[in-house]
Amino acid sequence: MADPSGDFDLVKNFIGGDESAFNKIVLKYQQKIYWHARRMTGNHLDADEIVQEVLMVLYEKLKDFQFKSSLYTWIYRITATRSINFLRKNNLKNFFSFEDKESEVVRSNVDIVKNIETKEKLDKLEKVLLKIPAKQREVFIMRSFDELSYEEISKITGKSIGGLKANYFHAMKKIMEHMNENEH
Amino acid sequence: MKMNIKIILYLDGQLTGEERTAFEKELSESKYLKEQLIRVKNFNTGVSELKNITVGDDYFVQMIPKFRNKKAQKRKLRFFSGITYSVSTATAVLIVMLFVTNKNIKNDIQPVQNNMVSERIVNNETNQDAGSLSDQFGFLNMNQEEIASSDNLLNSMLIRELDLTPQSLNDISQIDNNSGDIQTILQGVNDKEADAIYNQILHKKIL
Repeated sequence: MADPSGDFDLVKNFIGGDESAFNKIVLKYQQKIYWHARRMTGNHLDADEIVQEVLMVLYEKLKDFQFKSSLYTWIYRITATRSINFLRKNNLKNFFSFEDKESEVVRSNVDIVKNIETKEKLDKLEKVLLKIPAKQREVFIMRSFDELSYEEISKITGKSIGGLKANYFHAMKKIMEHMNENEH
Repeated sequence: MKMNIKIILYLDGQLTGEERTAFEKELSESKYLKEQLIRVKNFNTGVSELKNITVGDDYFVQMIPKFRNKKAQKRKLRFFSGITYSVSTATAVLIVMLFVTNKNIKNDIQPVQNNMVSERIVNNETNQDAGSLSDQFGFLNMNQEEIASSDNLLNSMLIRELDLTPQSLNDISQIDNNSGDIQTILQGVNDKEADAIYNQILHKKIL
């Protein structure tokens, strides 16, 4: 989890009118925001859209933040919610859309990961992750990539620890089965 | 190949002390379970390699300026949306007011029209349908006095409405020797013609 020291002062300064404090908060957490969105959506452009939405919400709502949780938990909660909402909206759009596959290809070709080997591994994983339900994906990402405990995940998502463990288990099971299918 | 669920729980630390001991014993005795365990561990290692991916700084450096631009654009959009909303609301209110006002004017005209129509009905029974000049008024059963009176009334109406002089009216009535009194005129006029004449007079008077 991110080091919470200094968050309180940054928020206080921002509320006091110091815009550079907001910039510092963004610099501190931007990678976490981006990568969670990226792993949830599977491509850079969608992740970028979510990041901008999250920053907009942060900017507007930070003055109301009362430190009932850590700043990191609060930011992560916003990111997780926006990601799930984005996926829902996208599913609906795709259902009614007549867009062809070309636009999807263009979307997946725009990327900030330049190393080919890393990109290949990432693409493979993202394809598998997109095959599992969003809620299971979310828990898997928080546990496997961000190494959050179930208690921390529970604070972010508001779900019970038992439910989260079940989600993680089902996610892993499906991922391993899909990986198995791809190998054979 | 179905994944053994205990492997996932074991690696995730979800087994209790007793369950863990039992599973480790099972693991040591089963080649198949060992293979599955290695599989999952390799997958977890692969995931770990993707935890901290190095990317060019460009994207993250540009994140804040991009956000600031977007915020400025959003503010402009909000401003113009506000104006558009106000103008649309004002226009809608204006249209509704015009509609209501127009309706009121029409309602005012209607009673005036009705009054003018009632003045045109010669008969004292004002509710009668005056669209037909057939024997509705019982002209054919009138006595001479009544016929003469009706004649005079009709003549004065014709003079007034058709802008005639008494002489020209006389001329018209003498064209046909059989015409001249209201009885004869009425006999020569069918219902349709009578309705048409009446409506023309009415229309001319009102407009």
